[in-house]
Amino acid sequence: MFRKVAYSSLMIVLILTLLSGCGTSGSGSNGSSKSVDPITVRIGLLKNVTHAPAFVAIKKGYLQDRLGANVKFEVQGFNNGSDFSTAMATGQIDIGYVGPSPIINQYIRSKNIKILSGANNGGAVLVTRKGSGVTSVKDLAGKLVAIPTKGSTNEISLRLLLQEQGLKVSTDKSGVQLIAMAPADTLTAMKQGQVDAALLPEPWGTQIANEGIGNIAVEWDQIPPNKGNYPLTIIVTSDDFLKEHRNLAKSVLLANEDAIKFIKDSPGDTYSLVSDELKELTGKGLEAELIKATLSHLNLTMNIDQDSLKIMAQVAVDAGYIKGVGADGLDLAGLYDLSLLKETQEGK
Amino acid sequence: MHWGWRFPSALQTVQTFYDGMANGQLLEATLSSLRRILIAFVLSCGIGMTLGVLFARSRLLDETFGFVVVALQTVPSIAWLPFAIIWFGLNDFAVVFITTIGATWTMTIASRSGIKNIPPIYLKSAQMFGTGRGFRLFYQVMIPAAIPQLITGMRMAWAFAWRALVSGELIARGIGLGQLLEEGRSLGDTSLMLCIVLVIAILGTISDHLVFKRIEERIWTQYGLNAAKT
Repeated sequence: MFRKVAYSSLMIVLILTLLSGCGTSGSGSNGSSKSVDPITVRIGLLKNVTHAPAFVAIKKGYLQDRLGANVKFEVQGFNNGSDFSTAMATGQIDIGYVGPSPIINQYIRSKNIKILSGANNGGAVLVTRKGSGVTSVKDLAGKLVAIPTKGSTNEISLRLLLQEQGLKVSTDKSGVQLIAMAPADTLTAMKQGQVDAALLPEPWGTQIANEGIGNIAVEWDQIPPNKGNYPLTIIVTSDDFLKEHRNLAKSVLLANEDAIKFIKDSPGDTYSLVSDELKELTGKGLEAELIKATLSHLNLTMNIDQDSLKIMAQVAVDAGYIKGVGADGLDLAGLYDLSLLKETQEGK
Repeated sequence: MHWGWRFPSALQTVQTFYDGMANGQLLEATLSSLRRILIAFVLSCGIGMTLGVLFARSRLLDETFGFVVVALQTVPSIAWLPFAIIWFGLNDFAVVFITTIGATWTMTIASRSGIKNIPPIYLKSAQMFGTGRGFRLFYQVMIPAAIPQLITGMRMAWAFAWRALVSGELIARGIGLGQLLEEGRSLGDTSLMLCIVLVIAILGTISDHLVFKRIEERIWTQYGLNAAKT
């Protein structure tokens, strides 16, 4: 009897230890977080230069200034929007910068994400490999095209480009084949001739062109929807974070505004900041030349073009990525909370 | 915690299965995966048996390359994927390659021990009856005597092949169950993910029960090894 009790109490203690262990590691274990205010904001972003406002907000100290001294933040870099969206929907990050399409795909399923603001419109290009015989979108029939991830904003743009030319996405040579791979791998795959073209966020397109591997076939301001002026980087947050820390979410928007202003006013000072943050995230910085090219291939704005997002969502429905939706039944109203953006812009 | 979307309901999964079959995507993926695994399986059985027999018959080979095979068996086949991508590209060939590698070593070791464990008295008496030491001994005595072990080896090879196949397909292009699984993950489509897992499980059960288990039982009965059936 005693042994049984001892055994089961030991088990309970073990399980409790395990559970509490999960708890602390989940909420970000900062050694010195025993002080007054242990709030840590977990910020997610993609390791792309199209996320420059985020990089500048972090490196220039805008984010820390706006959040206040009592709030810590930690940055998690993601390779693509799918991973980011999963992390956000499962509560592993609180707020962050990402492309809109993966967020729409995730929102339709989990309904716990809100778009707060824009950060950047456009900044993706279509590159084609030299020797692939592809010089324009029409030539893509029967070719293999790389995109950063399935359902990504870049894929949606690609599908719109193909639609314009009457081309179809297929799994054989009859149409255009898609393959999801990280942009860095795309560069290698193109070098080896395994991929014929790619729709990628900058600076990858420019880099591929500079290295003499490929050519830019469709410039950033010709990429649909809306000729390059579509949201490519937006700020999103989880419903939980918005409910509990609305003021902190607003701080992030303000920092974003500061960063965009800084980049526009003094682009020359931006390059080293972006390169430094990239180095922290990926272990590798980037030449100022490429960052400069990227920043001239996009349009920084806090506004969210909801019509473009609607077009993009429809493409995702047509592609079968969003299921169980009627012709006009896609309801994205719950996806937006632009009240904070309004407050920020009105200077409240 | 909202578990609502994290784990799909049975109804959603059935719906996804039905949709996938109706628009042909799931069916196509299943068929292409089956095609790849069958090619790889036939290859690995062929290579594995040949190597196994060579190792069992030649002590020199066994002590040199046999050792390498045992070492290779401990390497997960997915570890070859980076090589496969560089050697063959992100195509079917790479997937078939790592699937073959994933199954071959198991098959080699099973057939090697199958042949090695034949009681010497079988071989001696066969030689007394005039099979000689060459092809007739091999074909008429050794292969039949090793069949129970060979079948067990095939069953394991089949299971290993599935593992390698799905992990390879997660990365390669084209269409297959692994690719669909990855697509489900990218889109946060848990019903599609569960659907793929179920399809793989069902295919595995069907192939094991209807093919390998039947053959195995038949052979065991035939060889008088199955006490329950006598």
